[in-house]
Amino acid sequence: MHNFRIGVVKTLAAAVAMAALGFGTAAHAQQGQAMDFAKLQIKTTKLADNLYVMEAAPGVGNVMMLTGADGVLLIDSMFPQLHDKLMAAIRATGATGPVKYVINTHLHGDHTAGNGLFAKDGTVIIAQDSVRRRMLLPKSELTPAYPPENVPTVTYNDRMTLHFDGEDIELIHPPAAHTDGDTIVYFKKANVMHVGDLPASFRFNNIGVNDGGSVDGMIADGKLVMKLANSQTKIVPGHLGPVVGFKEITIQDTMFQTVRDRIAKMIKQGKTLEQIVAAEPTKDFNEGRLGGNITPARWIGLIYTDLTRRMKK
Amino acid sequence: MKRQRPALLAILAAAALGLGAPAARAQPLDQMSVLATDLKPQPYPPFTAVKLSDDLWQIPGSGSNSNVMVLVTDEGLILVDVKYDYQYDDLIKVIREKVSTKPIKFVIDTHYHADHSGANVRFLKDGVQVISSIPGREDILAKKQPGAPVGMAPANVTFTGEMRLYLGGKEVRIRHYGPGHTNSDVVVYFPQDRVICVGDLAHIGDLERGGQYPLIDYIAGGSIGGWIERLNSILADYKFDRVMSGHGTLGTPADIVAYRDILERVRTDVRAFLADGTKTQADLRTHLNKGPLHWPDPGFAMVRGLHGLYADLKP
Ligand SMILES: [Zn+2]
Ligand SMILES: [Zn+2]
Ligand SMILES: [Zn+2]
Repeated sequence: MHNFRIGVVKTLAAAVAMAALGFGTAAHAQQGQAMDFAKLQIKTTKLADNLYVMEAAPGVGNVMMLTGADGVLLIDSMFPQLHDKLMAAIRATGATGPVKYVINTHLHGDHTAGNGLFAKDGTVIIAQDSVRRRMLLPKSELTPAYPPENVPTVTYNDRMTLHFDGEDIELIHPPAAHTDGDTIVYFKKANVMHVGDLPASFRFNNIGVNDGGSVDGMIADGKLVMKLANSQTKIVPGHLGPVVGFKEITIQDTMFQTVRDRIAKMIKQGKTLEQIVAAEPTKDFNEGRLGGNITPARWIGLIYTDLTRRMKK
Repeated sequence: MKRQRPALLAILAAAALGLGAPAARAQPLDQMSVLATDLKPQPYPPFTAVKLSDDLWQIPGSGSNSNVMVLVTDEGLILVDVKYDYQYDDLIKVIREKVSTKPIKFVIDTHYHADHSGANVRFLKDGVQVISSIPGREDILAKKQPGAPVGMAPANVTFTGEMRLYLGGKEVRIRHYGPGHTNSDVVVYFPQDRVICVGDLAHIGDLERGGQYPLIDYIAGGSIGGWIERLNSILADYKFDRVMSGHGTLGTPADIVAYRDILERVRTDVRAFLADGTKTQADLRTHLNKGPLHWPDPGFAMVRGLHGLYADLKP
């Protein structure tokens, strides 16, 4: 019995580590094992005259495209297996210019794995400092290897602005949340904001607990997004878009806080991870949130890992 | 914008004549008439290229235009400062003939003055990414430099804090600290060569011809206190053996210390002079010229800095 319990704990610990790795969304799919890319189709939604969102699947980061006289700017790059489809979707809008920039919202493979094929063609890959730093770390038990060709070559530490295609594109580095290298991209004139994997659409967001992210950071940055944006801003989430608003972010924020508090309370009561998962602290929030790639059990595991690490400190 | 040539002095004097009236409050001198002439195209000695290391070349200032640094990598070139618009063809020519035929990928403006950023407009047309601090862009758009050439173009990439470029296995760090010579100054560091470019935050060599009279561009947010802090930060934050200032010759960290001391002397002297609270801006002008600092009058340091120094340092 005792041995059996240890076995369960080990399995759960492995599951947590895998979830933290973003298996199923990032590392796993990066090798092309989890998704059948051949079956995926890219759906394009027009947000403004020269601004589009491209979506492929819940496990593929949403790409935004700005096009105009200076060329094409992308936010995130999907996967190399989707490169040709993404380029076809870009050209289908009538955009003819070269892809001059890819801005990464953070390091995870579902947002950066496609970088290399763009960089090869001369595209400048931009991200916050930590994205590059973490992608160059040696592969470990908790973090995957990132191919060197996907590593950003222009980095910033605080804020950066691009003036491109007549638009002012602000890159804002918020306090650590999903990771410690997150970038919020704001298209000022169009009033459109890509928030990467910060809380936005209805889902159980991955939290990069091994990449400097935390549940408290997610809660804080959800609120920050609503300060940086305004009620008219079209907010593009990293997954499950194409567009949300303050209403969705507020509801996600409440969900994050409620579930965090429930899990924290159970940890203080001495409950184990499997007992907490069995207590289903997300149950009343599951409806409408199961379309993402992180299951409630994985999500609970991420929050558990984050909170217990912090309590040990 | 650092140098002044004797040929200009007559114009400068004429422009300054109408400004002799003592003012109770700090008043900018009439710079438009003083500086417009200097920024017009003028003849200049041919450009040369000086090799600093396997991958770094200096295109020295030639006349009133700035020093340029070129980083050569397998994937292309990065330029720090680009001189005037009208010197673009000669700059490209010397780079192509003496340095490299690789494509130019990035231009970095150390600050907004036209002798450093004037040719941005040409590089942007070539599709080059031009990088500056946010004030470096705003000051050009707001035409903060009197008499600056028409048609100047600001950077298309701006930042706060620090940016890093990684090209062909080389790294470049670009930092904006805050007000100094202007509000837009950035320093550019090449870690593999331990070389730093500080723009007009220092003037190395040639001190007798202007380096000892720091041009504090108060109109564009310059500040003597900020400038001293900037140089202390550079000394604390970077390991470097060689430094290139916006004008003058290459130097070492000792030259940054020496320039910081020049600024300290100015601040100490002006503070002491204004300490009793009775002095006017005109009194300070006379003192700067006739006192221990011997600032030329007229001169760029006086024209751009007098009113700001007075407002900044009076008790
Ligand atoms: Zn994602
Ligand atoms: Zn992510
Ligand atoms: Zn200058």
